[in-house]
Amino acid sequence: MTDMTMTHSAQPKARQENYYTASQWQLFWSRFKRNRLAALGGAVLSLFIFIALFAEFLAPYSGQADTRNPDYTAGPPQLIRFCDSAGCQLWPFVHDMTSSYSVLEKSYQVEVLEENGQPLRRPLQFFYPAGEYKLLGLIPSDRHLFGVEQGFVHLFGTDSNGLDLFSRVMYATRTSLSIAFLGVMLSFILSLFFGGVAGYIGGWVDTAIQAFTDLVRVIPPIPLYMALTAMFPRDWSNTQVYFAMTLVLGLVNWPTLARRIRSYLLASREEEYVQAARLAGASGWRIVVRHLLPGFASYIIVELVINFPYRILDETALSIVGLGLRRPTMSWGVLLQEMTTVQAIQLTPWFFIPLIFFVVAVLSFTLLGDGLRDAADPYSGIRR
Amino acid sequence: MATDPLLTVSNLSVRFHTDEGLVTAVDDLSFALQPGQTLGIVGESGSGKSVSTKALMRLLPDYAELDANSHIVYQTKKGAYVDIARLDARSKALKQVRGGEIAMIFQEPSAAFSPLYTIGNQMIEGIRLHRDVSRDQARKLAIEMLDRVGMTNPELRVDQYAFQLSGGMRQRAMIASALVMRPAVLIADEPTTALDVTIQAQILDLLKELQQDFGMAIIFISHDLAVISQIADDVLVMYLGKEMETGPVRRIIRHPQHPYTQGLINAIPRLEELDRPLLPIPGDIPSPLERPTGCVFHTRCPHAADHPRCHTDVPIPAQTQPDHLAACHLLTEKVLEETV
Amino acid sequence: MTSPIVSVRDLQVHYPIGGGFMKGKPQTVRAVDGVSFEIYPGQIFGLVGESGSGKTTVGRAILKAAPITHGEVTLRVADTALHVDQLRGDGLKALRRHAQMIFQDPYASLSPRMTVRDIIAEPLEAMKLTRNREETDRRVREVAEKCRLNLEHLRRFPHAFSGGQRQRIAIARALVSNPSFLVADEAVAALDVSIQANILNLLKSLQQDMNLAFMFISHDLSVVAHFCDVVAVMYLGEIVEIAPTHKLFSQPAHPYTQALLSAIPPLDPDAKRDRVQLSGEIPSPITPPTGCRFHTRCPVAQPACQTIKPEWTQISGDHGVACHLVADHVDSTVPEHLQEQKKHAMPEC
Repeated sequence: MTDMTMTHSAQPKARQENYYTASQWQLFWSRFKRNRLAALGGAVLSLFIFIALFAEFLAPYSGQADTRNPDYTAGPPQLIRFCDSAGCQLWPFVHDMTSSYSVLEKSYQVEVLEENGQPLRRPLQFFYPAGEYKLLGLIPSDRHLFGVEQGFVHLFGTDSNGLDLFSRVMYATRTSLSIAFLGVMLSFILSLFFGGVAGYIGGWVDTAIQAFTDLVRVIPPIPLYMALTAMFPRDWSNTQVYFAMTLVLGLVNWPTLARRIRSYLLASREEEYVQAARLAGASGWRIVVRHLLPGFASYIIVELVINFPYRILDETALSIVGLGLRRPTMSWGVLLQEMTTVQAIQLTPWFFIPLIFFVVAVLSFTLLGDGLRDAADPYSGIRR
Repeated sequence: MATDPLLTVSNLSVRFHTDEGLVTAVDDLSFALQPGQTLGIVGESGSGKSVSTKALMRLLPDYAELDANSHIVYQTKKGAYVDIARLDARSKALKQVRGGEIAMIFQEPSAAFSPLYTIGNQMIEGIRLHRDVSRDQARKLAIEMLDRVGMTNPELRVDQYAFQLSGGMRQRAMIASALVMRPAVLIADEPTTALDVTIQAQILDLLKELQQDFGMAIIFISHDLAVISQIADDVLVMYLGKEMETGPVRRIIRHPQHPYTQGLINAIPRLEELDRPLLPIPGDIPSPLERPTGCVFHTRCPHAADHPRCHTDVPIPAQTQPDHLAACHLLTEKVLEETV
Repeated sequence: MTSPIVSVRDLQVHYPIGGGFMKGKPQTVRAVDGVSFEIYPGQIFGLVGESGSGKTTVGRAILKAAPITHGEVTLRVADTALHVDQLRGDGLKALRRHAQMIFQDPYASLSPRMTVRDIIAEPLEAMKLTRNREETDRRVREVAEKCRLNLEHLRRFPHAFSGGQRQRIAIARALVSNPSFLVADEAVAALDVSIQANILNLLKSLQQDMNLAFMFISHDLSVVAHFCDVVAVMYLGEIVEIAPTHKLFSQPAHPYTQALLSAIPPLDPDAKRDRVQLSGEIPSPITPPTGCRFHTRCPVAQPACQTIKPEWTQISGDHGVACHLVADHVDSTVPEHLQEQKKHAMPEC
């Protein structure tokens, strides 16, 4: 008992002063850091964001028909090797392989090409110059993280058309994340407008907006999605479909968030410190900017992060059933469309690799969202 | 004090695991409760008065830790002794103690009643948990009890929800549902704090009356020494989880021994002495994270500056009278001087 | 005598509850129903009552933080009279500058996301009362020192402080614009006894230093008795008695005041007291009782009390009460001219 008392008073004064002068954001962060699962989720997500930003650099090929490998259709993932039957070397390499469908065997036949009786080695090249692109849409470059001088490298194998799955997954990550991001942002803007106006003005404006929100909410989302996406003309370009999809995701999902924003504003408008500010002569604008928004920001971020995985799910689900994005656009949903055959399970299990990416992304978003929510919740002050 | 105590608490310590570290809520608390006695526990925020009584019923939250040396020995109605601190959290014996042997009423009665069930429903459920009676009999008992605590129209009230009642009536309903199991000990945690003075007076009178009738012992917790003096036989003064002083209520109020109790009494505004200036205890209650060493009160004690021991050694409660204890180095020094 | 700093005439605050778009006709809560009183410069005016008596609403109405349904509220500062019931724009700014409020809960009334310095500076910055940041800082340090705050703590956030310290921050915020009138709504109710006395003493010394007028709203009569010069007792939206503190506590005239006083537990259990037992609880302000509103709980109610509203009666120069029993008694003893004069000053409520 006594020694515990001692440890408390022996606590360095500087540390205490840090705690006392810590803003809500700093406290939020220190609470968040303690949640290991959420931190893990955050780390994995940063990786995904990195992939989305630098997909061209990470992917050795464009993943489109122009870099198709006609000799290696539905080929299995190639292993990065240091050794093979002919001995070992220090530099990593892959084997040059072919794969083609044998009608007789009713399966894909995979062969390792040989040269002089030894498997043909294709040493990996790093920062390899290949197809040109613009990094982040700005910096022209032709460097890719890795590649091979002759032949092809397919770390995740190829699809039934001989397109490199690794490259396709990289680009699909970008599409799926960005479509969800834009969808969430759009619904955020809409909900901030409707929820903010309803919550801050109140009265009959609130009643009217609430009635409208409820009207949107009572329409079941799945048929609504289907109806909206089925309306896309078949001759629309990929870009058009892409932006139409973000619009659909945004339009269908704002009411829930709008309601939350409204009730948050209604509640915090009555907080005593807001009343105190009003009595201190603060204008409506000052109250919103100095008192409501700072508390609100953490809340909004949490809400958005929690919403994110659902938008990914929506896009993926729609694309899988063929209502969302279509080939040749690459998204997780489009890639997963290929795995929806019994054949895929039996013969080409690597078609499921995009599924792993998808599941890990949704999971880490959820973990991160939960962690942020716990850290932002003032009632989680005491925990085990 | 010839009889055996009903409840003997010894070396009770409770700590909380919080984000900011381990916080001591109750520190080495010991007291005894006789059958039919009313013990008042008075203390300010952070004194641990509420936590210590929650510990008696093992109602502490998950992040709380009961020290291994704590003992809460309770003599059941059947005469058996149980150490509540050692009971398994899910055991039948603990369930029997809760409600059946020791009942509790709170500051906020609306927190004790579910808004989804009528008061009658909740009372009947409680009765049938502890006694083997039919629903009709239980309902009759509930109505009887509601009548006994001064509810108007008990037959009507039994089918109402707690939110339909006024604050005072809700508090009466809670007392009724606590007493219907005829507990041997009633723990009342600030039961009148949320009420207006006129209602507070009604509830205090009712509790006194019910104690006479049922003969139960009461542990009455309050931050208000005046309220405690109205109802309690003995008072335990707590500060930062430590016992400061224990004794009969009149002695504590008229001849407080501990500097903290003296300061507390001087700080209370009294109608009888309108012109006396209010004398606050200097300083603030320390944060639980900055628990003082030695005597926990030394940071605010007017005498501590002259006594280095207060800063380093924890004082042990010592007798100043046969039934009056105070934990203060100054008093033990005085006793020593007198004996020398 | 100097002119009052605050005068309230027949103040009514009625709230609609329920109702709204297609929800039927709203009911009216008569939170404050015809209240009149005056507060003089440098005076501490206590307003006591049980929960639901409307005392908080009166305080907020004076600061225009509650809607005034009817009546006049006037604040006189520096030779100008602000008619609070009609204020907008610049007038409202003047009111905010000269009349401030201290809230009950120091945990809720300080924004958790602002430093102590920013909290105290808020009125100055919001109303642009200072020319530059240096002046604001100087003023903040000055007032913080006055409120016995550690100046090194101005960088901290409220979560670092205990209830008493937080309340001192709230007091500093209320005083930073140099007001002449303060409403303290249960300002010490949430504090521990040992801290309570501290804050009360601080308020009293600040009041004397700055010659502040105070409206001290409280449910705790012992605190009011120690702190206030004049006390008004409210019951169900009406004032039933006003008197100087000593008079009110030694010779309470209204049966409700008597009951309230006798319900306060004395510290010594053996202290003699005549208990006036009140039955029942405060009725709903939506449908207040007819006649004298207290008649449903009054131990000495007469048949007339159920139907006729009691007139405001001045027992002596500074002691007024609204009760039939007192009025009957006083009519025969107090000179006519005094009653007439006082009735004029205090319209019936």
